[in-house]
Amino acid sequence: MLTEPMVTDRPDAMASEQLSRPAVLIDLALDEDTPTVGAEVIELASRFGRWRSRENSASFTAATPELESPTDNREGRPGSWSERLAPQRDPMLVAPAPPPIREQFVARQQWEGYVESISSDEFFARLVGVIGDRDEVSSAIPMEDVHPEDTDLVQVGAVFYWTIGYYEGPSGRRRSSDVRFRRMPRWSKRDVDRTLGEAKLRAERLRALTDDSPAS
Amino acid sequence: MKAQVQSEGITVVLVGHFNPAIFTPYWFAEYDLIRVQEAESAEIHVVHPDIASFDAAGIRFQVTRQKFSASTVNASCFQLVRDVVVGTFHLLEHTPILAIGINRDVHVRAQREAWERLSNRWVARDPFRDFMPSPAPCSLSVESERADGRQGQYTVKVEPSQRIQGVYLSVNDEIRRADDAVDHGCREIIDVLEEGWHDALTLSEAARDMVIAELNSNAD
Repeated sequence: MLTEPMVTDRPDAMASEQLSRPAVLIDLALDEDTPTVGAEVIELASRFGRWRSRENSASFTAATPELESPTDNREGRPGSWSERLAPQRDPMLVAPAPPPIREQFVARQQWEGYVESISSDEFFARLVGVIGDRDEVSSAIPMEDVHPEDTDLVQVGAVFYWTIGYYEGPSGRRRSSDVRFRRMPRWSKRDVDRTLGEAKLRAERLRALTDDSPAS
Repeated sequence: MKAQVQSEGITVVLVGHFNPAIFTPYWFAEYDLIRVQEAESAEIHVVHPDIASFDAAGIRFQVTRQKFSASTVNASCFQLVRDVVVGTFHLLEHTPILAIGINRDVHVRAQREAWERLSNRWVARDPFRDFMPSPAPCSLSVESERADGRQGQYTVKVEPSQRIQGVYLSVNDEIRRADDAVDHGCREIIDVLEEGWHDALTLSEAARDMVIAELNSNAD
């Protein structure tokens, strides 16, 4: 039976900007006696910093403390960094307690919608609220609100998510509106071949059924 | 002070057997699961045969040989997490996946004494007073079998937030691969993730709203 912690996890995202302020850099030279670094060490190190391994060396950059997740409840106590890193017995790796979260996104309204029709500079969509007001509404959305890489995805029937909210940080709030189209993985040749094969098989079965049925 | 959500995040965790080295931001962009620009601006922590960890498209990916997780604290990316995970394992359909966890974590800002009042209401302390001078619950965890008959469970945990003044809520919706599953890969369980996503979010929202309502009813 699977134990609960194996499947339970906590978000650790949105810390990327803080990684640009390294506190400690340690380079490890790997030789024949120690050709690799243990997975447990790497896993622990990567929780706290940036790990890079090359052919004959590896480096560990201890990141700034904001690496901890804004929603993780396990590592929030001041001093927990030191406690977790204590088994390493390397005082250079000890980082100070996490400072407050710098900026976070607050969603006020999110809709899931699909494209009903498209004109040159906007598209019309049917929307259902996912966060906030749950009513079903119609709306015209300017094409300029769509990310350049998503414009090819704007087709009748395409599903998208529209989120309105704000980023909140020490310097105040800034509004945000994000239109993101649902991306489905590109079909591989194998997928296409398999689907064609299944379609042919079904067509043959239908044909056989039709041939067997008595003439009306 | 009215109790209100300070931050919340979603994490999808898959337990099974994975090859961490194949997971890079460019792999996700190559298969059109995230934008190329998002792959180019990704923050890579580590890509190694035993572990891959990077942030891309507002999602943190962490993969070991036994576990794949995708998490975000940006509400505009909640659906993207589902789409990326479903898309990934439609491509890697032979990956043996044993269980899926859909997790929501919420920190609710509330009055300083919020947890004490809430736990007073939920947990009887008297049975403990015979042998403990001042019993005080430090965490409450409630489990339930699933409502849809699938193997797995729901777990809701409430405790004082270690990050802010208030209460922390964790909702874990765990789906285990059926014992009689015919599929040796992951198609069936990934389909369950796709079909069960809305229910999982509805369940965790109900738990969150219940806790906030309880905190506010106690706040006077």
